[in-house]
Amino acid sequence: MVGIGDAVETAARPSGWRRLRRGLAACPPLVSACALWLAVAVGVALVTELISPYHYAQIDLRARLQPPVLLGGEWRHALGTDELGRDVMSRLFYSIRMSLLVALLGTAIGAVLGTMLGFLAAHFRGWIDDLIMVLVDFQASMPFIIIALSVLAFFGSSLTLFIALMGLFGWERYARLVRGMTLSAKEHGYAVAIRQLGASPWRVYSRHILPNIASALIVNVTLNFPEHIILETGLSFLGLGVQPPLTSLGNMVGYGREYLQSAWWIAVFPGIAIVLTTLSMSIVGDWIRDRLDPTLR
Amino acid sequence: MLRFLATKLLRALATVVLVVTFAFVVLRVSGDPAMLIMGAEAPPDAVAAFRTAWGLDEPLWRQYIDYFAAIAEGNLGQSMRDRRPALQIVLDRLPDTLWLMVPALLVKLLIGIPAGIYAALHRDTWVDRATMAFSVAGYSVPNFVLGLLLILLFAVNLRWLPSSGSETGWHAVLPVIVLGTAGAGILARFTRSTMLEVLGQPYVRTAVAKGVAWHRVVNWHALPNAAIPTVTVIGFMIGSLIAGAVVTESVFAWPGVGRQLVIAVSQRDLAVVQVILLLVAASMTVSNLTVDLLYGWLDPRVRTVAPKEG
Amino acid sequence: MTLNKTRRRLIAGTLAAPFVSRISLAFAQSDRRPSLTVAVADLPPTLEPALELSNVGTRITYSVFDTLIRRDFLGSPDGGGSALKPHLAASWQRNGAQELVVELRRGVKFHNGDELTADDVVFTFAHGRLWGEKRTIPEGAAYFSVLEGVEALDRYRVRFRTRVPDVLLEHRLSSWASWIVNRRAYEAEGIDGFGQRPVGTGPYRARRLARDQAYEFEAFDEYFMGPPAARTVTFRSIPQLATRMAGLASGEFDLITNVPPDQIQTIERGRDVEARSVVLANSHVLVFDERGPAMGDKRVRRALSLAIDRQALVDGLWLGRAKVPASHNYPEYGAMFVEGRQLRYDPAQARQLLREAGYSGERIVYRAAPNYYTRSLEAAQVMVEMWKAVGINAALQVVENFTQMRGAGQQIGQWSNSTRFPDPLGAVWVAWGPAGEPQRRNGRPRTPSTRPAVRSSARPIRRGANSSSPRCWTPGKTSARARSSTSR
Repeated sequence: MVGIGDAVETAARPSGWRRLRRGLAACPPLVSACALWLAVAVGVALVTELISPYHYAQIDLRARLQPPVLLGGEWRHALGTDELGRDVMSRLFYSIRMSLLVALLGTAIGAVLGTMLGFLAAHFRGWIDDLIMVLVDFQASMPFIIIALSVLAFFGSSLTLFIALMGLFGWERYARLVRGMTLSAKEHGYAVAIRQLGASPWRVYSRHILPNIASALIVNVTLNFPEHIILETGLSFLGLGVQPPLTSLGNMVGYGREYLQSAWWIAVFPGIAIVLTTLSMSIVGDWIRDRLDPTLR
Repeated sequence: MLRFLATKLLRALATVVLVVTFAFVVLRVSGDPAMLIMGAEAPPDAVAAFRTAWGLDEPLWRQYIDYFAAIAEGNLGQSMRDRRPALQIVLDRLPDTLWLMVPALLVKLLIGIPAGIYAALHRDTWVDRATMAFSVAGYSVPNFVLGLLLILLFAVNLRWLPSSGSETGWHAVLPVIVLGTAGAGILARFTRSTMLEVLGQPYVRTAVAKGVAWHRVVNWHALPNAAIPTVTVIGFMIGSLIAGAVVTESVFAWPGVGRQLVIAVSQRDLAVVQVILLLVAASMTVSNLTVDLLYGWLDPRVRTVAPKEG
Repeated sequence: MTLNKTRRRLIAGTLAAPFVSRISLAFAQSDRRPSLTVAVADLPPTLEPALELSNVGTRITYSVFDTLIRRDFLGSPDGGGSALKPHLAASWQRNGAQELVVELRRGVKFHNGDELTADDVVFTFAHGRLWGEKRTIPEGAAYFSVLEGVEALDRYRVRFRTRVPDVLLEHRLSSWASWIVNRRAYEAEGIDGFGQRPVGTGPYRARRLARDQAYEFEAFDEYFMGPPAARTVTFRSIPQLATRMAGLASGEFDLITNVPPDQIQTIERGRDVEARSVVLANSHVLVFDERGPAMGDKRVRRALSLAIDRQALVDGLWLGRAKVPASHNYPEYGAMFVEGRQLRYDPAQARQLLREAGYSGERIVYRAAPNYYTRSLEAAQVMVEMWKAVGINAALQVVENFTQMRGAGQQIGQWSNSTRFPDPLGAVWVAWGPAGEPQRRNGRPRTPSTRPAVRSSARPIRRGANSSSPRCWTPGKTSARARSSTSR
């Protein structure tokens, strides 16, 4: 996929970053809006304790299912309360933090794990390659519910392990991608030339091949990050996601689905947060990819 | 070519065995089918009798060997809930599953791919942005929320469509919409990015510079190259045809294999789970195999086994 | 119940009586009876009536089978009546504390055309089915381990003999385990086949059973109490609550079950729709394992129990439709009901007990499964907060199933105890007695103080005379504090 002519552009890699900085100044309003939402979300995640009027687990059985303030509720619970009388706004903030944390770490773990295994497979070939490919196939063939269930069963509902579980989701696509692109990149003129000049394999990979496949990886990350949020929602539907009393966006939507007709605010606000975050992540990710990719006009 | 096939087949077999083994161990260790199927109030001697009858008190390695020995004889086990053959139970649900998943797959392909190509060809225009926004919206709304909203609108308020079950073709409309929108969104985004990569390739620029008509450039140069990674994704989608719609099937009470997997797993109905996993692993590896073969046909560079100087 | 005038759509908490019309009419030509569709959360895998003894099974088997003696649930306004009426048995007579002779009603037909005779009854209660070492119905022992023999005296009379004096035999014969099965079909099909093609005497006959999907039944017009009120009844498995509610609102379902109280208001917005709830004879229990860390001191356990405001739970989560029971002690026990007992809420005393016990903040974990019963997870979260409020370092751990719940280190777990027939021997004794799960799983109790006389008795005795509750055994391993009965 990378032509010989691009060896020149690859060697002039810094121009990609320069292009990014130039692009930042001239980004379209939609992208700015999305970036703003993401910044807000990250901000909320960082200062949750400061801005939440209540603790997320604070129960008040006499104030159950209160509507938001503009629909007959009180300012005390501006976005209403849920089925146990907990403040929806506070839970929303904590959920944003939890979901972003889980998705971020899960994506990072999956990307790093998958990329490393992809490199290993492409570098060593032979039986290591076959073994890693079998693992990739295994991951793709095993319905994720079983994996999720086994983690929940063996390790209980510990959050750390749940994040590790999320890291297992999607690594196989990075591995396949990296392996495929590395294999073809290895055989291109520039790579062969650099190896013959005596560079160590790791130098070849990290300084020459990785930047070329970076744009494909970034696309994958921007697709993968929201997938984690959505996966977590699906797992919560099945009761396998973030467990109470902890809360996440998927958790709120999952447990709020019973109330779509009566207390819709429990599920709709986190649902909107999910859609906005996913949308923003995708649009911003596309834009970054467009700026970084040296092969695009 | 034969070597190529042989290694692929061996890999496929290894995957299937690994999948079955993993599930075997995990399910047995993390839950007791006897207690789950008989209920929490069942008397302990009855639970013990159940475990003995189904061989659950044997050591794990022994159960494992017995299981594979039975498969070799063609016996895939019985459901612990009603003692009917596990294979029969799963195959009974297969037609309904396919009636849901195949139309959904068609919707994904017929909407997603053209949308992605169109967006790529009109990059950075409002068409592109709108298509991408819709695509993302398609897969970011949680599918059970979309399903419930559609039910409320079309079944309860308008009464145009049924809300659950699988009797007629009309019953499949709402679940197919739910499945199709998410998949079409994913496919659209993916196709767009692949097309953009291909359109930025030097040979495309060369073709345009040579004066080749744009539609020929797209159809004869860009699309075939973009097909390669797209085919991979489609391969994954086909592989997950059998058990990939767990949530949707649950919302619409569609009697598919995905829903059956959830029930069987939560009750540790081991034989049924293992049959489903075998089928899923087999279909995934078959579709991967097909994709690899298609690769060989689509991209001549991949056919060479030994690395060559580029 | 009117026939086909208006299709009133109902939601049932549980339905104790089958769909039956009191008027027997001849349906010669056009059958204008309604076809009913009932949406349930799940379907039992088999219709062998004594194998499926949870509410999942009994709500179906009630319409397909009959018992010899009928418990008149609707005789009491709350649906919990415990008077006994003749059903398949026209009359019965006691010949001493250990013998009961039952006279069958004549002319009762099975779904396959056979007439009900003593043969079928003897077969239903034969050694090896519901009782005996190697019985095919494992849970039958809880009901019928007292039996010594069942014989047919002639074509329509059966004699039951028990090993010990048993005043509850009539109640046992009216319970869920006592559905009369057709001998010919059972012997021909075997237990598994019979479960897929059941033959009983009830008002509805099985037509088509699609596993985990829909069970269809058609009217059995030769039913001895008269032709049933519906032409067909279909039970559909609709796992999601929202889908069940949508189907009810759109007219696709006539009845739905398992509705939490929160949703009743939404449902009753529809025209023609009504919600009914019944308090079930089932208590949700917390199980304390004394071997768990910090759980060994009785004062800590009492504190845990005193810290729970059960009425607040009932009012908040179940909107008052459940009841806080007076421990394992219900009005339907009749003479055996002890008045004036209650489960107290006293957080001040809880704190004091914790101080006395020297509780120093050890973590106490409540393991709960997500869907054990309606609102179980919400209740768990509330209880953890209530415990925290009295200073207990409580935490919730969600587990997937009971194996995980009862794994090593268990401190507090969930359970539920059903009343199989209205007597302590049919409830707390079955669950917590020598044959029950806690004792069997955890070995013999430390100081058994069982009173054999309590196991059965020749005549009804007043509970009050025996001081407090019959102490089945002293806590050796686990103890329980009932939380609340619920409506489903």
